[in-house]
Amino acid sequence: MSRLPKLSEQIQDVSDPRDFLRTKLPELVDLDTLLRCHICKGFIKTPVLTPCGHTFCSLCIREYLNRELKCPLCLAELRESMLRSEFLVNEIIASYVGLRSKLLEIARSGPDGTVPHSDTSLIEIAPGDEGAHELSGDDDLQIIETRRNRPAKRNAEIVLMPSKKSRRDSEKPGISSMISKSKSPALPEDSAECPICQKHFPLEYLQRTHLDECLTMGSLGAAAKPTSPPKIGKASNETTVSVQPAAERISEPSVSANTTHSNRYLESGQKQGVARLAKLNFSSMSMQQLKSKLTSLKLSTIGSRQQLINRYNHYEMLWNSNFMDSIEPLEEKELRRRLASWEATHNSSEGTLRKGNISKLLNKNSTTRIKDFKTDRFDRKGWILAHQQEFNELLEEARHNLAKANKMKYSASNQDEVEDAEQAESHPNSISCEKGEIPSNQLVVKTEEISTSSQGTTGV
Amino acid sequence: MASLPKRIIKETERLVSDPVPGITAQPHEDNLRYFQVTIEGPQQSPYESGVFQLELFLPDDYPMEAPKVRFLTKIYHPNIDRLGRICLDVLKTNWSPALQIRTVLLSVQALLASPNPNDPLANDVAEDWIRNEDAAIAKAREWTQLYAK
Repeated sequence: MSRLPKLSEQIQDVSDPRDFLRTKLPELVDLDTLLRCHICKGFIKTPVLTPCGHTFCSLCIREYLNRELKCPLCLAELRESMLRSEFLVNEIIASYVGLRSKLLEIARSGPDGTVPHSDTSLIEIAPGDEGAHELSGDDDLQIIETRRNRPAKRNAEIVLMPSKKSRRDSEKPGISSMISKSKSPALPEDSAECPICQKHFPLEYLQRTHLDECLTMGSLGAAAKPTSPPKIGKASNETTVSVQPAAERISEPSVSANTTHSNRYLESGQKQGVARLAKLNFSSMSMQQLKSKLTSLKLSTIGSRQQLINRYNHYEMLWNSNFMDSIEPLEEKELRRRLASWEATHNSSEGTLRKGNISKLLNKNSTTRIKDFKTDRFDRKGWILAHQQEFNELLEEARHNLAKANKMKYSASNQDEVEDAEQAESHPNSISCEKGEIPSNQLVVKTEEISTSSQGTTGV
Repeated sequence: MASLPKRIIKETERLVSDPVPGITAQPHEDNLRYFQVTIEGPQQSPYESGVFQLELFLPDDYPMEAPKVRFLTKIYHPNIDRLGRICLDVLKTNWSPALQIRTVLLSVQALLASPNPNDPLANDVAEDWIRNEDAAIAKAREWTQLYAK
């Protein structure tokens, strides 16, 4: 089987929730599944929320909404303008994806503990730290907590607790040391990492005072020992400091990445600079207007009208997904590069992809045109007139074949294409259920020709 | 041909490594978008003990567009015509990209278990079915014995 190596090679770099199935943490299958887009089956990129409460990749759902105005999961009515980006989910997923291979490794090969949720193996806690963690029954929570544990443990000074609860805790020095280890990491929503000393502070404190301090001290070459931010319990400060050295060594590599996600989430939602690209009413636009629109976006104006329209539509999708939904928008240049790579496969001017007359025509007219094909509004007469000759040729050929192979009725062999043509001719009523749509027998690429011929017959 | 989207690779891998009971789907060697499918007739249906061959093709726009599915084995069923075309909502208007090959094939299997002569594709079969259901079921059983072995 020549196909197998090729396919299995491709499978190598495709991850699947079931990777966790035979590990010590099979419950992660569920979490891994939840973080994936139902359209592309990959981890959700730039998640957007629908009013019906479902989350998809921004690009996936926008592409689908160009065809159907409904939610793929619950079929509720949905328009592009209803989508809202979800920065938190974005960062949760990004953080999980960064963690995943490690998690998988640990879940596969950790010590044969009898504890089902071996917290120790999961998070690589510093020695002497285990037991301080309360096992949470919920896997999702556990993971998020895990992620957040790391910065905390490494950074002794984390003690600042944004939530009311933890502040209350820190007022009771007796338990606060314990709590700061087990609980505080889950709540660093308001804290951020200092880019210079990599320690954690409340955002406000960091921006107002700490950064300046840290910069000055760095330049003086002094061991950075910035003043403690306000509201720090003394006891907790001490305990965490004592834990610091061991923990720091262990979890160093992934920490900066993890904290970035919290940071990015905190800083999200501030950009307002770029305007949404509007949907255009192409039918009222002249070619000239279309071209000048594309030029103003620095896009190519080469190609047929339909190609220009497709180009704009796809770019509009990329643009809106990027500037409206993305937490870290790319530059326009990158968008244009992506548009170009899309055009290479989806909007090519010549029938480079397939052979055959009709399919060449279809390619030229690209996807939206093919889609029109299936709606009731499709201009069947115009199409028939435009392709009269091809239809006639096909009809001629089909009749010829019909005469030749009259006795050879249906068989499960590969002659389907020929037969389909005959049948479609001799039994035009048999597609009643499809109400004039293209028959569903377009299975083989070649059969496009046939389906067109049956269009011709039914339409005439 | 554009490279195969990850989603298709993933689905293929899953179909082969963890098949649905009673359903197999093998991608074609030359075209990984073309699958050879077999579906076992559901129990307590006229198609019981039959093994039906189908073909399934994933169009370029899959998953935005539904897969194309067709019976290759001859079958006597009001919603499947003599060309093997299937009248099934999820293959047409109710397609959603959240569906997948697996769910589509399960729907086809379910269609075998519950023929719907009121929304026919094969008019003659549907008429038979409405006029004399027992005879139609007997004929379906007979065809299963004849062609789906």
